[in-house]
Amino acid sequence: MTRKAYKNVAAIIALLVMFTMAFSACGKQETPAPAETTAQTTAPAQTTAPAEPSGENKIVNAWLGSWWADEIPVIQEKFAAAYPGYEVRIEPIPINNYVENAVTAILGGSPPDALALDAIMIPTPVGKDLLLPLDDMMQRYNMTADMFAPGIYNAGVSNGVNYAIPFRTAPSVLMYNKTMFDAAGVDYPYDNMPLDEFLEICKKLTKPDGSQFAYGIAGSKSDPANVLSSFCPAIWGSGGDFLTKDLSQSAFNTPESIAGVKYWVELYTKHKVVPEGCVNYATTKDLVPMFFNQQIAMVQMNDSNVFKAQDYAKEGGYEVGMCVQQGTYSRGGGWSFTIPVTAKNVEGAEIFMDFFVKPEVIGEQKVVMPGVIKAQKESEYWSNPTFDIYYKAESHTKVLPFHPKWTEIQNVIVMELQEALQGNGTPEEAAQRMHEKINAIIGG
Amino acid sequence: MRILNKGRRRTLTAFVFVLPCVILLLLMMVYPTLQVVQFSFSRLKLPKFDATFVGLQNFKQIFSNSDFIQIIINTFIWTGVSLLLRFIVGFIGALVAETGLRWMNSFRTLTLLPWMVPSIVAANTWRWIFNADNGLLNTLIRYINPSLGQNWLGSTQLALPSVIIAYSWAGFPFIMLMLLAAMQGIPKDYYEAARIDGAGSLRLFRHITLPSLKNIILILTIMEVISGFNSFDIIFTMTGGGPGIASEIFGLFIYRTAFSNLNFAGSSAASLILIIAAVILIAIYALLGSKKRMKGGAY
Repeated sequence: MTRKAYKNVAAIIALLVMFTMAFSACGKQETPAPAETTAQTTAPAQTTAPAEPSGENKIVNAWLGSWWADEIPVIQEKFAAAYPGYEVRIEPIPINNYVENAVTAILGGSPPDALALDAIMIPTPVGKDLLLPLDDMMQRYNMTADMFAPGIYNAGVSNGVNYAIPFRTAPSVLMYNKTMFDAAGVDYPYDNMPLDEFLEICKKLTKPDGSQFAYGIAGSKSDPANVLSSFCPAIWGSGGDFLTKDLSQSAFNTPESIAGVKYWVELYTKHKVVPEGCVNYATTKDLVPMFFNQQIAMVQMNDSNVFKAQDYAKEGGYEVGMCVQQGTYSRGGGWSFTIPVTAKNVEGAEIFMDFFVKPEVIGEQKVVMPGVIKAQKESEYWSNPTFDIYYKAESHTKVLPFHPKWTEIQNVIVMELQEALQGNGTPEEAAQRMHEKINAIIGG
Repeated sequence: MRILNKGRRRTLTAFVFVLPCVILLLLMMVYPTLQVVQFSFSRLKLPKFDATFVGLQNFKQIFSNSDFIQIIINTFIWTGVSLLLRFIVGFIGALVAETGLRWMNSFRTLTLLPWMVPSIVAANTWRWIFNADNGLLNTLIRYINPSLGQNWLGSTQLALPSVIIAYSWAGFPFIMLMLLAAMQGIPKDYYEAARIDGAGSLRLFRHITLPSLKNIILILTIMEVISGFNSFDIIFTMTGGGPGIASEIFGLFIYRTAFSNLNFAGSSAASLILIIAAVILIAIYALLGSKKRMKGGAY
């Protein structure tokens, strides 16, 4: 062969390699067909007994929020010890764009087998058939609803079907600065304080020069879950609700719901007992630091900040107290494990989820308040008396409506509440706009 | 027998080698666009994206949204004003950096910082600066006069301008860098000759610098318009589009429709509208530019 011929052969080979690489890169990823139910994908009547080792470990992929990062190695180790045939790989995912990443992974065919979701993130994927029902799994693993904190358990149930196994409950309490109350000569708030009494103490605690406010409401559109947590005591405490009981219509046209909107909005517009920036504030990002700085006297506080608050109080030379939030009910929430329809190892996911919610596992960690009642009672850490008020508050929570179009509905509520806070129309007009827009979403 | 002559053979060889890249480009750019077109006229069933043709239904839904007009207006304000601000600050920065004075290397490095900061960090920093109760800006303003403090991100009138400032701050170094690179390519002889003829600094800028930068300005304008239409991260973190819809822009609307509401057909229809709008704008701009070029003027 001549030198030129060698060159030609080399060129053809190079070309073939390039084509092969190009097409293999574009090749469609194998995605399993969505499982109809868990019963089809898992061994029937299997109990929680550890699987037999089968040479190579079966991999279970799971996603948790990034705040679990330090705890993940411990969980992985414990799971490997309990289930020698399995290996769990947990990825800590930042909360920014968490649900978007999850949806992309599910639709892209490479989701985690066990996906942790906030209660508020569950209804919309369920409405789009992206999560597996878990009733059969619960039956096989001898799980019952009463094992879990009711607020977070009910947040995963739609039309009597359960889609989520709760592991975290997140009731909030009303934390107050006793020193500021004493200075103002105002009695401390008490459990489920009626809304009108709460407003009266707010007026007494607020200083007209803007240096001290009584309370903080969260209005940020970037964090709608916070807005709803802030708004729920007002609407439920007024006897109103978001949707009718059968979820077929908006309930914002009822006098009670309108009163709830009016109460919440007027804390800002009329009584001015909350800080000026509340329209764009989130609870943890903005209001909790203001409470630590003694700029506001009361704030909604979840369990993850309670010890930090006590430390700040000690450093700042003030005292804090806690009670169940004002009104009748606050928003029940938390996190649960779900299984995406495109998960590759449903059986492994079930085994891991069953392991994770065991009281001796979920009760051992100190990251989040366990949603498993036995873990709350038996864990040395979580049975600390500081948390008693949270367990009490848990029994005064209700869940948001489980509607497949909830994220759209929630966006309308937040938007219109912001408009009303801005004084763009009265609270009554805002409630009317919410009613019309929500009905259009539900009807459409 | 040789069918092709040497020249054609060489062209064919080159073409065959380029072909894999062309195919890749088509798959990565054209296919998704075609899919957006298909989805925007369909109803989609997840998770497999099974599409059923529904005609213009998705577009009807978008246009019947009572907030749609305001979102479009916000998008044009967002894109136009941030483009202008970025160009003004970028131009000033480039002219200063081009002076060759002492410390200019440090100046260049410093001015690049906003561009290097991740957008989420920039957004949170500006969110803190604009915080109504404890923010840096209001603290400074209230030091001068307590009644001048503003609810920057919580007011319908101020939210969009505030976020535009943050967005312009994050993007001006790119403009500056590109303009600076182009300025350094202008032959110094032009300036010397003009100076000998008695031209002042303003005339030098008007008749030499600006015309020499017209191509890069055109490219940057197109890139910035597209980036402005698509952007959502800074606005999402700072205001979430609020209060109400005061700072809601089209990119955010598309993102929310797709990933919050899981309405991928609706978001595809909105994306198609955006693509068409961007293409029309760019075509108009390019047309105006070519007309001026034919007349021999700068633009």
